[in-house]
Amino acid sequence: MRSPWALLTTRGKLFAVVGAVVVVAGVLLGYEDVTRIGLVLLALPLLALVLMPRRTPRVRVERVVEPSRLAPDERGQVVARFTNVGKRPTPLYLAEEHLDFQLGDRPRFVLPRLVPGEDRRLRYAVRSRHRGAYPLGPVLLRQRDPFGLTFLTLQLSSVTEILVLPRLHSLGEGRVRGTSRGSEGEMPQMVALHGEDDVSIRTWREGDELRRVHWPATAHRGELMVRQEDRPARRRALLILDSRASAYPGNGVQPSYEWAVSAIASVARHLVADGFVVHLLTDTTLRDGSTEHPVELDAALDALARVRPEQDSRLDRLAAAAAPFTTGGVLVVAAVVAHDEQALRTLAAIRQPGSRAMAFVLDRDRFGTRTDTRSAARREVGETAATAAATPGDGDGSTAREGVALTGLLADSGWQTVVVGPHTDVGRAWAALGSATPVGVR
Amino acid sequence: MRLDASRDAFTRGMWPEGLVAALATLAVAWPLTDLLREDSWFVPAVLMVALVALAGAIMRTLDVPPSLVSLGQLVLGLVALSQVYLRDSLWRGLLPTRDTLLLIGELLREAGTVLQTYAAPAPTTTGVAFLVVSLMTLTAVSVDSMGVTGRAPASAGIPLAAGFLVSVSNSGQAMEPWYFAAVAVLWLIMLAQQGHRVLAGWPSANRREARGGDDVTANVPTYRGLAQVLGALALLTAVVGAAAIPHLPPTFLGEGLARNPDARSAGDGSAQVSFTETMDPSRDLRNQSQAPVLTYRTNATRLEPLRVTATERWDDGRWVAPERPTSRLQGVDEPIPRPAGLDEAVETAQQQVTVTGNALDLPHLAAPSPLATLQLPGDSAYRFDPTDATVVLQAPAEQYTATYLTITGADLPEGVGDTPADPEQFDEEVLEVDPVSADAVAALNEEVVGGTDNALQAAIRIQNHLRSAPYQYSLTLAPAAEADADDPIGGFLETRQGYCVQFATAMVMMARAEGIPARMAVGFLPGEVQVDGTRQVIASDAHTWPELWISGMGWSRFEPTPGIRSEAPPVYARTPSSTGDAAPTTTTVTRPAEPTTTSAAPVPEEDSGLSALWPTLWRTLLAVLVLALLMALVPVVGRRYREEAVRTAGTPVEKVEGQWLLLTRSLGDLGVDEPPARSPRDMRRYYREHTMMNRTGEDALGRITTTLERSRYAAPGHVDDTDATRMGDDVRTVVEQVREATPWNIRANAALLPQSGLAGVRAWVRGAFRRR
Repeated sequence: MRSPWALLTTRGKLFAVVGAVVVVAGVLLGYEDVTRIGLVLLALPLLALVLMPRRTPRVRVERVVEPSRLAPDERGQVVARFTNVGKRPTPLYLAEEHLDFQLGDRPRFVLPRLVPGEDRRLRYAVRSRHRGAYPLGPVLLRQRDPFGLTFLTLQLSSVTEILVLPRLHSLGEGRVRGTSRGSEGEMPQMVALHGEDDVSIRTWREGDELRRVHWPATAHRGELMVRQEDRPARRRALLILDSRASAYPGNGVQPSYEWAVSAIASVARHLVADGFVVHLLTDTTLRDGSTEHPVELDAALDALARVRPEQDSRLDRLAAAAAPFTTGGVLVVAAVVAHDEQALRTLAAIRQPGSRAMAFVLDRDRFGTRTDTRSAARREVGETAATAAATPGDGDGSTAREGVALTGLLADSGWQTVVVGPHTDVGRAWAALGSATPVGVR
Repeated sequence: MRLDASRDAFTRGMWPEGLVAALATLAVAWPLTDLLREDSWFVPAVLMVALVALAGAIMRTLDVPPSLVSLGQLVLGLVALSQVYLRDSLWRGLLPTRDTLLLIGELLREAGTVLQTYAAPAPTTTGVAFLVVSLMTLTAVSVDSMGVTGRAPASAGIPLAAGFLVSVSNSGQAMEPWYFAAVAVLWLIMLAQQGHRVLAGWPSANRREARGGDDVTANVPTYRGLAQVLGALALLTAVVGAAAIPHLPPTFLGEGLARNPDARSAGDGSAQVSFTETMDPSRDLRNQSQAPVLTYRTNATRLEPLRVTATERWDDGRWVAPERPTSRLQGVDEPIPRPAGLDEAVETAQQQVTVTGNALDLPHLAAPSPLATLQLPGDSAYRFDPTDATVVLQAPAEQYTATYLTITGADLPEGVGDTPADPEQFDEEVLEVDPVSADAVAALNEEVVGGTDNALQAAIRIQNHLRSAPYQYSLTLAPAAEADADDPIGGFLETRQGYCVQFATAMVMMARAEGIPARMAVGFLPGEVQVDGTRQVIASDAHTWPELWISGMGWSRFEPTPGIRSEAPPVYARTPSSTGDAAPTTTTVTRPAEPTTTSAAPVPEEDSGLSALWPTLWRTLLAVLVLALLMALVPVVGRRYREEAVRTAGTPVEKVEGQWLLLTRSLGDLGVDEPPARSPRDMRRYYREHTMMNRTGEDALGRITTTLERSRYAAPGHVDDTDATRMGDDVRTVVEQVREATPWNIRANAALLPQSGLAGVRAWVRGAFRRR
C-alpha cells in the first residue's frame, strides 16, 4: 500500500504543510479568518485523498487490429474497447495507451466515468516504419483530482501484440536454377532425406491400391503398409540469417540488420512461390528447434518479424546446424556480415562441393555510421565480391582492409556472393547473386 | 480556418480565467465595504481591476510574451491610477514628476493617519481611497500574472490571502463567513479551471479515427461534480472547523482600523496609548500594562490631570482627533502665551512638573493645563497650538519641565461667567450639539440648569448632576450608549452608565446646548505616587474631561466623571451646596476594575513589542546572511575539489589522472554520473551514451580516453606534460559541450550548488575529524 503522502503532488504536499502551519498560526494569533484559510488548504488535499479511489479499476480492454499483420508503413487500425467489469463505477482517468514509439504517437485520451457494464471505444491508427512485434498496451491511467493535489498512476495490464512484417521486395520472375551434386540444370527429385521424407512407407488407408502394399513392411509391422511412391519431390532451401549484434554496425535500429532480414524474407517469399520447401535458420529457430521443419511463408515472416540481433549469437553455431542440410544438397541462401574471419570461414565451409550456396555479404564499412552517402551510392548494386574487393571504406584504415578481405572470403570458397551496402536494392542484389559465377562450380 | 484561428486566440487569451481572477480580487476587497464609511473607492477599484484583467486578456490573445503581459498590466494600472488620483502633479498630464512622489507620500500619510485614528468604519478620504485602489490594482496585477498568465492559480492564492488578511487583521473577531467563502470559492474555481485545462489538453489532438457515440472522445468529461463536492466540503470544513477550534485572543501586530478593545497588542508590554489618536481611552483603560507612560515629580499640593490634546469635533457618535494645520501653530519654541480669557483678577499660582520619563509618541506631550512655560532638552523642540492649547512636540523628549497655572482660591472675582460667550469668536463646532441628541440634552438641561444665566454656575450644576447618584461609572456600556448606536449621548443619559468619555461628552453637549463653548480634552490622571516620591502614569490612567469657556476664566476644566477613576473637581467648580451631593456618590461608585472581557490575561512573554522583535529580526537576518555566505562558498569549494588532483599532480601520469578526475567530477555536477570503474574505452562509451556532444566533443573525449589509456597501461614514460596539457584543453571542450546541452536548471544547480562542492565539504569535514 502506498503511503497517502506519496499520492500527493507537490502542490498537495505544500497545501497540507502550509495549511497546518497557517491553522496553528491562526489559533495562536487568534484570528479565525486565518484559521479558515489554513483549514481550506489542509482540508483540500485530505479530502482529495479520502475521495480518491486507489484501486486499479476492473476494466477489461479488448483490442482489435485491422489488419492483424502489418507491412512496414502500412496503416493499421486499432479499436480498443474498455468495459467496466467491476461492480463500481470507475473514476475519470487520463489514459494513455502505451505503444512503442515506432508505432507512432501514443494515443492519449480521457477515459470517462464508466458505470458497471458500460463500455467505451478508442480508435487509433498505428504505422511502423520498422518490422517487429510490438505490444499494444498496457494502458497507463493517471488519476488526478480537479485541483491537482493528488496524482496516482495505475496500469491496465492488458497487452495485445501487433506484428509488423519485414519489408518484402520483389525478386523478379526468374526461377532459381537447381543446383546439386552433379547437376547443372533442374534440381532432381529428392527422395528419402531426413525428417518426414524418410517415411516413404505408410499405413494403408481407404482407397490405397493393393498393388502398392509393401509386403515386407506389412509382415514386419503386422498391419497393411503401402509404399508412398507419388510423394511430390520438393526442392529445399535453407535460409541463414546472421544475427551477431556485434557484427552489425550502429545501434538502435540497425539498417544493416534490417537489410539482411528484409532480404531473407524476400528470398523466402520468392522461393516459396517457386515451390521450394524453406527452412529458416536463425538463432531463434535454432533454440526452439523449428529449423528442422519446413516453415510456411507466414510462419517464416512471423519469425523474421520478431528476430533481433543477439549479443551471444555465433556464426559457427549456425554453420554447425546447417551442415545436415548441406550434406543433402539444399540451396543455401545466407545474409551475413563480413566480420570475424574465423566465423566466416566456418560458414564458408558448409557448402558441399557442387551444391549451390548464395550469400548477401553485408559490407560493414558501407553500413558504418560515418559512411559518406555519395561514395556509398557510387558502389551500387551489381558489384560482386570480386569487384567490390577493391573499394576501401572511409572508416579506420585497418577495418577497411579487414572488411575487403572478408567480403571476398565466401566467394573464395565457392559461394555465389553479392556485397551489399545500405543503398543496394534487394531485387537487384538477388539478380546479381543469380548471375554471379560460383567459384567452386567451375 | 479563420474561425479556428480566432478560437485559438480566444483560448490563448484565457478570458474566463481572467474574469474569475478579477472577481477574486474584488471579493478580497469586499470586507472593506464594512471598514470604510463611504464607498467612493469602490467604483475606481472595480474599474482598475477590470482594466487590469481586460488588458491581460487582450495581450494574451495577441500572444504577447507572459512577462510583457504582466509588465504591461502593471504599467497600465499605474498610469490609470495616476490619472485618477495624481493628475494634478503630472507633467502635461502624462509623466510623473517629483511632485507626484510628494503627493503620493502625502496621500499615504493621510491614509495612515486615518486608518490609525479611526475605528471602523473610517471615513474614506482621498488618501484612503488612493491606498485602497492602488492596493487593489497591485493585487489584481499579481493575481492575474500568477494565476492566469503564469498558469499558477495556487500561488495566486498568496496575494489573495494577503489582501484578505489586511482586512482581517484588525477586526479580531471573525468576519462573516461569506467574505471568506467568496474569496475561497473564486480561488478554487481558478484551481479547477487549471485542472480542466489539464484535462482538456490531455487527449491527443486531431485523431481522425475518433468517431461514433461510444468513442472515448465523444463527449470529453469534466471534473465538475467532484470539484463541487471537494470544494464545498473543504469550505464547510474550514468555516465549521474554524468556529469549533478554540482560539487564543487575537494579537495585533499593528495599529489600525477596527481594533477590538479586548485585543492584545504586540505593543502591549510597552506603555503605548492609543486614545491620543482615537480620542477614546477605553482600550487604554483596560490595558493591563504596568509600564509607565510618564514618570514625573511635582511640587504641587493639588494634583492636576496631565492634558495631551483636545478636540471640538464630534462626528457621528465619536470624537474625532483635531486637524492641526501647521499654519495654526506658533513658531518653534516660541513662549507660550498667557491663557486667553483668564482675567488678571483671578488668583493663580505657578506650579511645576518635572517629567523624567516620557513614553508618549510624537507629537504628543502631556502636561497640566494651562501651560505657562515648557523646557525641553536641547535636542527637542515644540510648537504651540493656541487654539486648543496643545503642545506639538517636534522631536522626542525623554525629559522636560513644565510650569502651569492653577486657580488657587475658590473665591473668584465677581462677574466670572456672567458674560455669555460671543459665538462670533469661536468655531462653530464648539457650540454644535449633535442633532440626534439635541432633544434629550435640552430636556435634561431644563431640569438640571434651571434658570441660571451664569455660565460657571450652569457648568457646575451640570457637572454635579453627572457626578450624582444614578450615574454609574462602568467600562461596559449599555448597547444604546455604544459609539455605533444611533444616539450614544441620549443612550448614555438614559442608561446613566459609562466611563469618562460618556460623562465628558454629555457635559460638553449640555454646556453647548446652554451656549457655553465646550470641547473635549484628553490626557492622564495624575497617576500613583511611587516609593521614591515620583509619580507614575500608566496607560490605564488615561482620562478625558470637558473644557468649557467661562468668561473671565477662559477655557476651564470640569470633572463630571464620578468615582475613583477620576479626580475631584477643580476648586472653582466646587460649590458648598453641591459637595454634599457629590461626596456620597463617590463612595457608591463601584469600580469595575476588571471588566469581564479582559478575562483572557495576556500571555506572558508571547507578545513582545516591535522593539523587542528587532533583535530576533536581526538574528534571523544574520542567520540568513551567514547561510547565504556558506552557500556562496559551495561553488568555490566545488572548484577546489574538482581541480584538487590537477593542482597537486607532479608527474605527467598524476596530471592525466587529475584531469580525468576533473572531467568526471565536472560532468557529475552536470548530472552525468561517474562511469563505473572499467577500461577507459568503456568509460568513453559510457560518456558517449550519456551525454550529447557534437563531433569535436566526441573527438576530444576520444583523445582524453586514449591519453588515459596510455597513461594507465602503457609503459612508463609514454605520456608527458604536453599530453596532460592537451588533455586539459580537451576536458574543457567536453565539459563545455556537455554544459551547453544541459537544461538551464541543471546548469544553474551546477553553478550555484554543485555536487562536487557538497562532496568537497563532506571530504573536508571528514578530513578534519580524522586529523583530530
